[in-house]
Amino acid sequence: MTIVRWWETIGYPMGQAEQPAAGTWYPAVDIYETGTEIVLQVEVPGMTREQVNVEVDDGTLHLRGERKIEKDVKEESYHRVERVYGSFHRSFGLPDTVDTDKVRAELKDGMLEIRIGKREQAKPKQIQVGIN
Amino acid sequence: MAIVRWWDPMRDISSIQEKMNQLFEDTLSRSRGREEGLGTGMWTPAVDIYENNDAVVVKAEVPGLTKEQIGIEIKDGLLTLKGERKVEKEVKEENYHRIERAYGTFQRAFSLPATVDQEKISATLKNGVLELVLPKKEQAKKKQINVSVK
Repeated sequence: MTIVRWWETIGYPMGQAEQPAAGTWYPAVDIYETGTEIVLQVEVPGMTREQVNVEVDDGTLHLRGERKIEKDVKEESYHRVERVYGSFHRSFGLPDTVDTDKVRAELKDGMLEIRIGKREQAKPKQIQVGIN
Repeated sequence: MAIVRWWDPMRDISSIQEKMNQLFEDTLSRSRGREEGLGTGMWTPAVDIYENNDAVVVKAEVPGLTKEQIGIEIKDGLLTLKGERKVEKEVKEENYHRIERAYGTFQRAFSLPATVDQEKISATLKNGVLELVLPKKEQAKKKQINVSVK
């Protein structure tokens, strides 16, 4: 268990643009930017489409979900439980440069990938400057 | 995250937290050869292990890994899970706003109980979870014995 995890479990949010999160666990998120999109990669192993929810509300991206422990396994049958169960909610403030109508999400191999398109004017343009 | 800039009192705490992490990791993992930046050190997938009447079941969280990136080995009653997750090559490091996922290699080993039939172990990878089913030997399965009371 890293300090980050420990810190999060006592209720501190991790990042600058992130609002305090609620829930019992926090999926790890990578965020990167390309010329046309901002991409979030969220680790949600074992979760199905029905168990995760992606919502954009007023410039904020909300990720919610719940992972339930298997019901058919009795607690006393567990030798080891390291995976975390319960609900999570993380939210990220989106910059003005993105077009919130262009949000796509895909779930594959336990990874939720969210791609948010940038507005036309926010994309880098190459401008040729003539030298006199 | 650089794309949104506002003053956040949590930033200082975050940076202290990062430093503490660094300190702990450096101290505890000097032998791992941790690199700077997109550190590709070691990580540990979370594992649940439970047992039912027929088998011992091991479930490991390996989101984003493919079959080819995972190795399972059984030797001398020791079950070893290995793998490697690589950083996406086409994304430049400076384009990352946030990196919380762990990259690099992992290796975990579990000693198998004698009751497990090592020849019959099966593994499946689904939704980022590797599930190993280790069936028990026939004689190890619980049998119902009726004891008559006189």
